[in-house]
Amino acid sequence: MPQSTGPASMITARRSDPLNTVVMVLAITAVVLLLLPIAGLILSSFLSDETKTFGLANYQSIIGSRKFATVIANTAVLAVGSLAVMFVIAIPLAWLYARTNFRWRGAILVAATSQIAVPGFLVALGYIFLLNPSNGLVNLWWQEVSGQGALVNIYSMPWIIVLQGLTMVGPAFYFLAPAFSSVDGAMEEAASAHGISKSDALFRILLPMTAPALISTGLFFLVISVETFDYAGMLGMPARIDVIATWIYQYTQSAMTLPQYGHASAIGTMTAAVLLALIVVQMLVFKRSADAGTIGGRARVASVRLGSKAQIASTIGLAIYAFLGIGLPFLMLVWTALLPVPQPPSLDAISKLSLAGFGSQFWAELANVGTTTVFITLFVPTCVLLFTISMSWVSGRMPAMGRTIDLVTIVSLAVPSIVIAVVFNIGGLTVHRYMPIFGTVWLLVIAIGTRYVATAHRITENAFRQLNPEMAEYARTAGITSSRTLVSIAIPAARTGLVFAWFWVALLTLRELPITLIMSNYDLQTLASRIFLYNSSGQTQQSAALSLALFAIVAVFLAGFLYLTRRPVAR
Amino acid sequence: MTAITLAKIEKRFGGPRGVLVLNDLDLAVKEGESYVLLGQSGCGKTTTLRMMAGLEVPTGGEMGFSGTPVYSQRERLWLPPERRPIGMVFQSYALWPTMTVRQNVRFTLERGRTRLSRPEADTRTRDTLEMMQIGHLADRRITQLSGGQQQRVALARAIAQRPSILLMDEPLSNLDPQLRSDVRGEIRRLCKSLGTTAVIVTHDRDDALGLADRVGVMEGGKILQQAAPSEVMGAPSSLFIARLFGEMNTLEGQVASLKGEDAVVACTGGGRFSVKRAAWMKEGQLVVLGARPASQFFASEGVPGTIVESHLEAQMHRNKVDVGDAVMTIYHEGDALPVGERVNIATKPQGWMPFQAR
Repeated sequence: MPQSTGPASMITARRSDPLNTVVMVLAITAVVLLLLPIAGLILSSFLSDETKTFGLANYQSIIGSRKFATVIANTAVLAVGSLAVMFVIAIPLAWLYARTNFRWRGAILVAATSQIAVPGFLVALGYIFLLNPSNGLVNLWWQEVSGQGALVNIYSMPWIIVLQGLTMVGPAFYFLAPAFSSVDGAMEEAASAHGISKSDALFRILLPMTAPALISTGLFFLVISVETFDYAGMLGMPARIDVIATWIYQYTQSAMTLPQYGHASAIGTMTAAVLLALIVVQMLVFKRSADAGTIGGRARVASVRLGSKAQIASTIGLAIYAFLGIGLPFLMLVWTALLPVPQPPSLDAISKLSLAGFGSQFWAELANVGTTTVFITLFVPTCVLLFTISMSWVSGRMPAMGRTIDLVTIVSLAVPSIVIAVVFNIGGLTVHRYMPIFGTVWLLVIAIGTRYVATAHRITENAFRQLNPEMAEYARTAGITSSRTLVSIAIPAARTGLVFAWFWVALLTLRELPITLIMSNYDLQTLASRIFLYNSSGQTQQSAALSLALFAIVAVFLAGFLYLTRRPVAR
Repeated sequence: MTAITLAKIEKRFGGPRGVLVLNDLDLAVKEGESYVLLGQSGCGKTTTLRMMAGLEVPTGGEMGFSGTPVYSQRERLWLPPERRPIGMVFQSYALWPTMTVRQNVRFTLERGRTRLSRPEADTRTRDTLEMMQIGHLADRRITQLSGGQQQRVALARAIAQRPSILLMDEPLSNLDPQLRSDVRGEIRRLCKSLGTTAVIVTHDRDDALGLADRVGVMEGGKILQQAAPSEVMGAPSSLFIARLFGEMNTLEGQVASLKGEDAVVACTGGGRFSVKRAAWMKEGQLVVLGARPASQFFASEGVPGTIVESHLEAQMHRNKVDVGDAVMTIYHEGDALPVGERVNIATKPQGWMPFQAR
């Protein structure tokens, strides 16, 4: 049949695009998944645990509880304290990286990225093995030397604050470094040319200029520090230092009573409301940050020249951060995994070092929980990415839908992990008769996936925003279908951002503790929950050995992440 | 006395085997002089200025201010910018946007190398802002100012400490043409009234001509010619410099004869032109003749050519004329000329300038 080589002679009928329908369905499903925990949380908070009737009984019980004031005060102290620790370390690191000629700038990036990848509870575990009052290495050594009791007690608020703050340094660095980098380097050069010191330039010029970003970062991590369970759970609970995250956990995992999901939901709802308010404030601040642009002309890359003493001091500071944040806890896990019982380094201890902790029980555990962990870590980010790509694509094409998605993702960010686990457990139990997914890996996958849809959406949305809209517009004028444009043009063009989102969610899934802990049972465990439970029952060697296995898996994912998101070499 | 001395200055970016940006640069700026470094992007002029400020460290040579060394490779000496007696105006102005106009200047006086007390800094700030005629803007935020006002604040901040050396990197490049012309005159007056040594970097010939006591034309990290603006404009040492100062029509040829102060050049496409004899000329040498369109006009006799383009530009018509070996630009008043029309181009006496052919 002869083919037409001339111009199109008529307007053809609308072309069918079944893949576009799939994209729409995925986007709507994601929104429903995000709404489920919010709706479930609110509903169950009004359903009384005692009478099973709707009302404010759970709220009254929580607010009237003897613990209430203490928990709120502890949470506030922990949140503000860890934020202070985070800023004290993250600001100098970001400044060194973004504004100076510090010779180990690349090492800062590696240290911060590694710290993000390493689960917080592993760091906590490392420090428990080092500083716990009964058999922590430092305290055992002190008892031997002085004959007295414990020198340091890791199960205390100051240590929870320091370690949680230290853990937030890595992610905070990723917030602060771009903000610092965006300021014209001529700002400090002007200061320098007029005789103003580097510290004055930092505190009086750079920090005020980046104040919106600093406030925004502070508010974001305030939310994170309120919802983080790892340190409060591992270090606070043994000492009965209760914060919101551990209080919710106790209501759902009590050994004495049935789970009180209504009480847990009431705490979760109140927390989510406060966190939502903080997120809204953060967004308003973020909006304002656009006002603090630089003035005129081309921006110069900053390169504050550090003297040799400053170089040495900065190198030492970076080494201390990397050692305390990753090196020391890792070494502690290695040491503990090689000893039958914890003991300080000595010739006697060295003679007892063995690989017994990595025996048949270890490999059996690894085959069981390790497989589940790896399956979840591969499956969750893949599904999340499919959802978020669909959400971002639909947002760009349908503004009304985009506004809805934005609103729902913002609200869902305010729902802490532990609350999501509670809500999906309630939901799983409710539908168990019709759909037996309670206690299965599928409910766990849905809960973890839902938890990170909002986070991943931010990344994919940004990746798609970087694309020139005229690419899609041109495709449209050429008659290319929406889904074909998405698959063949937008996704390849936004590839780096999407790979970043996949790995980011994978790493978060690997380190996810509260959801796996609440949703786990005898048959269903992940490495994170198993490590936590081993440690809680005093089985330090098994706990440390599995921690090293988790470290190894994290390292593989981190290497893949760094490899695939590396900058292409200029040719 | 010499305010700034650069001797055999070298600058490489990217380590010892990196890109050589400046090579054996020698420069001396006299006290109270306004010296303009003129050149195209990438010629090394901004790098030179930034090395004077101490914002870049040279990789070789010596540099001194009023006889005091500020950099010496031999003695491994480098004075950081905080300790140099300079004021600087950046191309972007680099004003601190979280501060008001007053705070920008006062912060420099209080926390900069002068370390004045608050009352002294307040007084000096007020005086400086008044001198720059921006006293009424003292409490405005930087973001609330126009480009011209920002430029004045940048200048006020730079001179407030009464530096002996004022460095300016493309200070007028962000201003519109009218304002640029006004501010040019103000900067020149200011530098003269303060008696400050000024080094100004620009790629704009009007800025160079308007601001400089002396112009140094840079290319490839070297100063090709330095002289008073009128001399560089009137007797450029190369075709490159000539073109930097405006459009040039050129013809290739060779020296046909030399006699006294005059030389005759025979052009490849025909025609012989009498030019001023240069020291480098030899009979038979290949040369390029250049003439500014302003010194050429249509006449009944001259270089014959054909109109290939004619359009209105400002008050005159700009014509492109094909003369065989080259296409020349000639302006004329009156109606546009039809494409294809035959014309003759005449040149004013001494209009042709000879340059060595490369």
